This record gives sequence, structure tokens and C-alpha cells, in this order.
Amino acid sequence: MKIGDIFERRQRGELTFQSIMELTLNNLEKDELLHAFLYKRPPEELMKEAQQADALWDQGIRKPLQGIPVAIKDNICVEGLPCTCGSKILENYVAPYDATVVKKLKEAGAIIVGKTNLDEFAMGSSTENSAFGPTRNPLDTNLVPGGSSGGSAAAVAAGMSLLALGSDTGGSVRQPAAFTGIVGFKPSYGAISRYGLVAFASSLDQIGIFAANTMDALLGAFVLFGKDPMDSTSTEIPIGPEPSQHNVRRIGVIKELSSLGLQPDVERVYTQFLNTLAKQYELVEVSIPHWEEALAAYYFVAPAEASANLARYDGVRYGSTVEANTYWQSVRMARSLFGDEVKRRILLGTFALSAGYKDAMYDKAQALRQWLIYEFNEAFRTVDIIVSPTTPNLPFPIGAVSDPVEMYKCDLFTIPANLAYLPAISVPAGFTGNLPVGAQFIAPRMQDYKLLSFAASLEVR
Amino acid sequence: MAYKFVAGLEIHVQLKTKSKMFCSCPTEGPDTPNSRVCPICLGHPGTLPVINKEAVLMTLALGKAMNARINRVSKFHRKNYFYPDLPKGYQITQYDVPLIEDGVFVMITGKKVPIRRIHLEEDAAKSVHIGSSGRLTGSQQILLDFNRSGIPLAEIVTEPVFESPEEVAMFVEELQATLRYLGISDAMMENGQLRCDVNVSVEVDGKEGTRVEIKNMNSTKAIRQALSFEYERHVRAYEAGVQLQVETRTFDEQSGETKAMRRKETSEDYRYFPEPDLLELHVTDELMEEANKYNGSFHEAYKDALTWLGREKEARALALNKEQFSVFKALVTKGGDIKYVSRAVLIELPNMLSEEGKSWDQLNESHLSSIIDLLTQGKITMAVARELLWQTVRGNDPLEYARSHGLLNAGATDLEAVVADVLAKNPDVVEKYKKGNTNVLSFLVGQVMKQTKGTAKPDAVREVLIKRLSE
Ligand SMILES: [Zn+2]
Repeated sequence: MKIGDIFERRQRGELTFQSIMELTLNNLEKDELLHAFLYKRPPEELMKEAQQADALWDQGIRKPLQGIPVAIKDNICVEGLPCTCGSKILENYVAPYDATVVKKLKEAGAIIVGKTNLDEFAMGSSTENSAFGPTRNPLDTNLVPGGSSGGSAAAVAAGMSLLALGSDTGGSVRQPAAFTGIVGFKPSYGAISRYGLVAFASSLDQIGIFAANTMDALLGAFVLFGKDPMDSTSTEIPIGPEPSQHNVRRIGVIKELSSLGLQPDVERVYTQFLNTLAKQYELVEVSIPHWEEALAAYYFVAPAEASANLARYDGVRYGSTVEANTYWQSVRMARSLFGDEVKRRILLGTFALSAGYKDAMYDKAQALRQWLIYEFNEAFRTVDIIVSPTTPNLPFPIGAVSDPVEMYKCDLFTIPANLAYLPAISVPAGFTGNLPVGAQFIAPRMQDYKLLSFAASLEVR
Repeated sequence: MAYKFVAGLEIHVQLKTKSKMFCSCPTEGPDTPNSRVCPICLGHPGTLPVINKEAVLMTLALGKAMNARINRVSKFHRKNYFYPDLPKGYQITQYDVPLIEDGVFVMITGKKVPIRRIHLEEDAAKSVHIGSSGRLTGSQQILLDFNRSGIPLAEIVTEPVFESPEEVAMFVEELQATLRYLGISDAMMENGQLRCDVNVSVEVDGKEGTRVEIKNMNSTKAIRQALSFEYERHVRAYEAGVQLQVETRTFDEQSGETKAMRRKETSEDYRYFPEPDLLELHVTDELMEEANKYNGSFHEAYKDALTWLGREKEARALALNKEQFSVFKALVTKGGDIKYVSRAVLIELPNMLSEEGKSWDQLNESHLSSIIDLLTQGKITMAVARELLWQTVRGNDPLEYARSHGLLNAGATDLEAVVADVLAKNPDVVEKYKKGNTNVLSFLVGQVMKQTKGTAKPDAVREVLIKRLSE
């Protein structure tokens, strides 16, 4: 049921927010098996808030997300709730403040259900890197839900919340959305405030939205968009157009993707999806020559920024503390609580920034990023929107991918939008057996509304 | 062999903004440790920095005062290193493109000190190491106070042009005054508002010497001592043929000596990269204009002081003390006689203030100028003025005090009456005077003074007496 329908039916007296919450609580029982949540708020509190939402509604008060259960990825701060980032190092950390997005959700009347599982510090593509155990895919519990925001994706896919927030640094919202058969939206860089999102790679991180359908994602985005005085990199984005007036005519299909090794099942569903699109829109081949190299650039830029962002975890001021004889020993011991993937990226990033290597690695990666931005700009001169598969592969069994580089390839299609600051969305493109395939649309920077409106119009048809 | 002292400075100045560099915590307030902190300046996960506009304005003002180039677009970088006082594991600072470059500071001596750059950054927490000589290694306990974490710092880097310890100290004094007149920092070295690191070397017969960095000098006196010690140490080493180490040394006030702190790790790699959480800093015309609100000038003050006092050394000393200068200026502007104002402000008030344990800013300028008024109107004598200065220093209203204690000069007609009275009461003395014994005049002056309770001016009394006695 769309959130809009819930409000209509609430208006007609066919349901209450309490009944929605009861349904949510029922679904939350599945979390025993799925492990989408690292922290769930007590049911009594949730029911009480639903009751209040009903009472306010009866008084004539209407808020954009009134009584709507939402889940928050556990790297976004909610005051008074744990914020572990899926890491031992923050196992006991309780956030002392609300992220701007959380403030906005609360003001919009949403009810926060809990904090969802993730790859440690959002580094991963399967949610297996969580220090607190993996999340299972609600469509097939032997499979991963994708990552790093796998918990949030599973929460929405299993009806444990109607919306969920994730973070997307290289595909961490879109890829799990594709793996769980739902919608995942990553806005333009700066469209949604990052204040309160625990940083992984600051120039790539964006808070994104999971929803069962694009209209819900649009509603969530409407609530969360906006410049925030607490985030200097945030910006206002122009509102509109309406879903009916998105004005998309020409869709770009990326030339270079044909050689990038799609799994045959993914390719088949994706081709069918393109054929359907072709009935309505003009499909035009566009070229982004540095698409594949973008993955390499990403794996210098993101770890470099991460190596600095994660330096604050020294066991001195908050989080897990250790018994040590000296400061340096304490730093070493506290930081040994990081998982392997986090350590790997800190090492890689430290190396990429080191004197003598920075020119060849970090600086070169940044230059490549500028090329990529240029190539997208060129492509958008001829097309309104670009389409690609969201992932090259289908959801895989838990434990099946052990080679980190193989895992990195999951993000081959999603990373370029992060590097180029572009808005992108993954929508369900079809199924192969019981497994979903996602299609990704990418729009020019700041045209988030156009992107969402276009994607929503596909659902209407 | 010919030895030449060479030094360049790196000076960190805490700017006097209301809030910190990247968060809204107050910079001043209760000294209770960790009472002025928030998730941002504690480096909590998820927090982001926002540039303090006032800190930018203050640095612009300093750049303007030094005729420097202002980079209309500058950048912030992350400087990465681990230390317990550094909450984020990196310091946000400016690196390749600082806000200010290529300025000049003209010293009172006329020496031009080239300023290489001035950049903005954030201060670290204050750490107290217990159980060692102020060092991390070997300390039993480290106490951290994050009240200082995130205080805006302007780092000023000079070219190595200083030729003596005295010159360094004089530069620092004049820089302190410049910052205070601008109103952008209190620049007290004792409490770390101004921290000066000096790179010293001694040239031998024109050949560059080993460079050593000296830290922890908490006063200009300490700078003089530390650098003189260091100069002699270098000369001794060259004389003895001993190889000096490139190192950082700390000044020990107790012994007056510098001590090795750590070897310079030449490979120190801070892995600078552009701060992705901040946009480039754009200095608009509006900001340039707004920075003009910080416009007080030490050099202007010195010019005034020189006009009043004539001698460079005295004028510099007066101008260096902003509060003292301000009192001086107020009294002169009020029409005070320079000679009197000099005596009152340069000699009497400093003594009185130190005796009463008070400072210049506790003085009420309008009270002081009412004393000047009374003096110029001839209503009080110098002796009374001195008494009234005391009262002012003690916090009393001098006019009020003079009135209630009958210290105000009675005026010319009253003086005539008192003189007539005194002459009438002492006919024998008048007789002596008229016979040519002019020595008795002082007796008569004394009698008049007594009757007027000292409010009459002795010169005027003498004048009136002579006039009456010659009639
Ligand atoms: Zn703060």
C-alpha cells in the first residue's frame, strides 16, 4: 500500500495509524530470522506514537509522514539511540544528537522503528561485514540483501517499515534495493543534509531513501531535501516537475556497458526492460568512456577520505574504550576492533595519500573524476536521462563471495553517479525466477525531481 | 669567525570570536574543563564543520593591516595525525591556498618584516600531562580539556629576517599591540592566546647554520632569554666544532635554558588533502567591506604618541599599552596639558594602579577627564589633582569627592577676601615685609593656604599677596 493510499484510507476511516503499526509489529517478528535491525524500539513506545498520530489526525493535524513507520540505517544519528555503524568500535555508542534527516522525519510525523544493520561503516556490498552478523534477503533468506544498507532494504522489503534511510557512497542504497526488489534513491550530492550521517567518504556519501514504490520515495525526498546550515555542502534543489510532466523523451543507453560482464539472467531481464522502455521513449546510445575506470578512481578517493574520517576512533572520547598503558597502545588496541574490510580500506587510503604516492593515486583519481563529470555533461546534452542495470549480478548466497575485488565489482554500475555527484534511482525491472533485477536511472545534477517523477510515471503505467 | 643570528617565526593567535571556528560553542565562559563543548568540537561521528564568518573577517582585517594579498578563493585541508588532543584525528587548516599571503609588517624601527602567509585553522584541546615533564611519552595521566578544541587560530608565518633575539621580542610586542588595537585577539602569551615558535639558526661566515625550532616561550621576556641562550649555544658548538642537531627544543623558564624535545622527523607526512566537508572559501566584496569594522591601528597610536611625547622609545612604550594609550588620548583630547597628562598617565597612575592591584581597564575615563576639567578651569591644584587620581583609582567619583571634601578652589574673589583677612590678622608681618624683609612672604602664603585648605594655587596666592602688599 502506498503512503498516499494510507492517508486516503485513514481519511475514510478504513484504517488507523495504530493498525498500520500493528501490521508493522507483526512483520517485525520476521526480523528474528532476517536480522535487518540492530536496534528495535520497544513496541509499547511505537504503539503510543501511533496512537498520538491518530489523535493528531482526529484533531485535523496533517503532516507529510504522519504515523508512517520508518527505519534508519545504523550510521545515522538518532538522539538517545545506539549508533554502532555495524562496528565493535562503536558498540556502546549512543548518539547525543539527531541527524538533520532524523529531525526532519520527526517533524514530518514519521515514527522511527529502529536502527538497521549495515556493512561496518558502510563498507561493503552484502551487509556481511557487519560486526553483529549478516542480514538475510527477505526474498530468499539464503541470499544476501546487498549492501551496505542491507538492513534498511530488508526492512522495507519485508514490510517492517514503509520507508527506510540508507547511505549511498558507491551504490549502498541502489544495489540493496535491486537485490530486494524495491526502490532505492540516491539524491544529487548536497540535496539531502549529511549532518548526522557517520562519514565514510565525505565527497561521495549521500543519504538515500528506500521505499516499496517511487511515489513513496518521492514523498520521503520531499521531506528530506533542502539546504542545511549544519552541512556546508548541502544545497537547495529546484522543486518540480510533477510526475505527469517529467518531460523525459530521450533515454541514454551506455555504450561501454555491453563489455562489462553482466550475468546472463540479469542481461535478459534488463534487455526486456529496455524493450518496454523503447515503446515509450527514444533510446539513444551514449558514451561514458571512463565508466569502468571510475571503479578504480573510487577505490582511491573513497578509502583516502575514509582513512581520515575514521581516524577519530581512538578509544579516547567515546565508543569502546580499552585498558591500555599508554595512549599509543590504546589507539592500537581500540582500532584493532575494526573489521578486516575497514582496516583494508584505511590502509589503502592512507597509502593513497602518502607522500610519493599521492600524485599517482589520489590526485590522479580526482582528475579521473573530473573527466567522468565532463563525460556525463556531454552525454546529457543529447539525452534527458541515462539507464543502466543497477548491478551486474543477482543476489548471491551468504558467504559465496570472499574475494574483496569480486565484491567491489557489485558497484560497477552505481559508483559513477557518486563520483559525478548525480542523482540516481534503482527501480525493479523484472524477475528471473524469484530473484529481482534492478534498473538504474541517472539524471543530471539537481534534477532529482525530474528523475523521481519519471520513475514514478513508469509505475503508473 | 663571524656569527649572525637568523630567525623566522610561526605565530598562532587565538581569535577573539564569540563562537568557535567550526561550531557554535562559546570561546569564553566558565573555565570548568569540558564545559564549552558540543558533538562537533568533540569530533563525534556524523558531525560537520561550518566556517565561522567572524574568524574570516578578523583574519582579513589582519591581512589588510599588513598590506597583504587576500586570496579571494582559499581552501581548507585536513592535516592528518594522531594525538590525544586532536578529536577528529585531523586538524582542519589551510594548506596550499591560505586566506592571506605576502604581507609586510613595518616595525617601529622601520624594519620591514615580510609576512609569508596567514591562514585559518582550529585549535586542539588543552592537554595536561601528569607525571612527566609536560610530554606525552612517559606521562602517567593525560587530562584533556576540549574547551580549547576548535577555537579559531590565525597562523602567521614570517620570512626568516630577524637578526637578534631583541628584534624578535620587539616584533612580537608590536604584533600583540596590532592584534589588540584591531580588536581581534587579546594576544596574551601567558595563557596561550599567542604562541610563538621560532626557527633559529646561526650563520657562520655567511654560511647557513643548523636550524632549530624553539617552542614554549610564554612571554616576550622568555623569547629574549631563550633566543639569547640558543644563539650562545650555537656559537659555542661552532667554536668547539660540535655538530648541532636539527630538532625542536623547548624553553625551560626555571633554568633559562632550551632543552631538546624531539628530533625533527624529516619524513613527517601529514597526508594533506582538501577538506571535503567544506566548500572553497570565497571572499566577496561584501566580506572585504565588512572586515573594515576591525580597524584600530597600533601604528596610528604610535604616531599620536610620538607627537605628544617626542621621544621614540617612550612613544613606543605608550602605544604598546592599548589601555594606557587610550587614557592618555582621552585626557589630551579633553584639553589636558601634555606635561600634566604625561606625569599622571605615565608615572602616577601606573604606580597607583599597581599599588591598588588594579588594571587600566578598571579606570573610569570620564572620571579622569573630570579631573582634567577641574585643572584647566583652575578649580584644583596639582596636589588636589593627585589626591583625586587616587580616588579615581579606588573607584570613587573625583568630582563628588572634591566637592564633599571642600577641595574645590574657592575662586579669585574669595582669594582676595582671604588675603585681606590674613593681612589684617598679621600687621607685624606686613610691617616686616614693607621694611624689605620679603622672606616673610612665604609665611603669609602658608597662612592663606591654610585658610583655603590647600585649594588655592600657591602661585595665585603669591601674586595676590604681592599686589596687596605693594598698595
Ligand atoms: Zn562545539
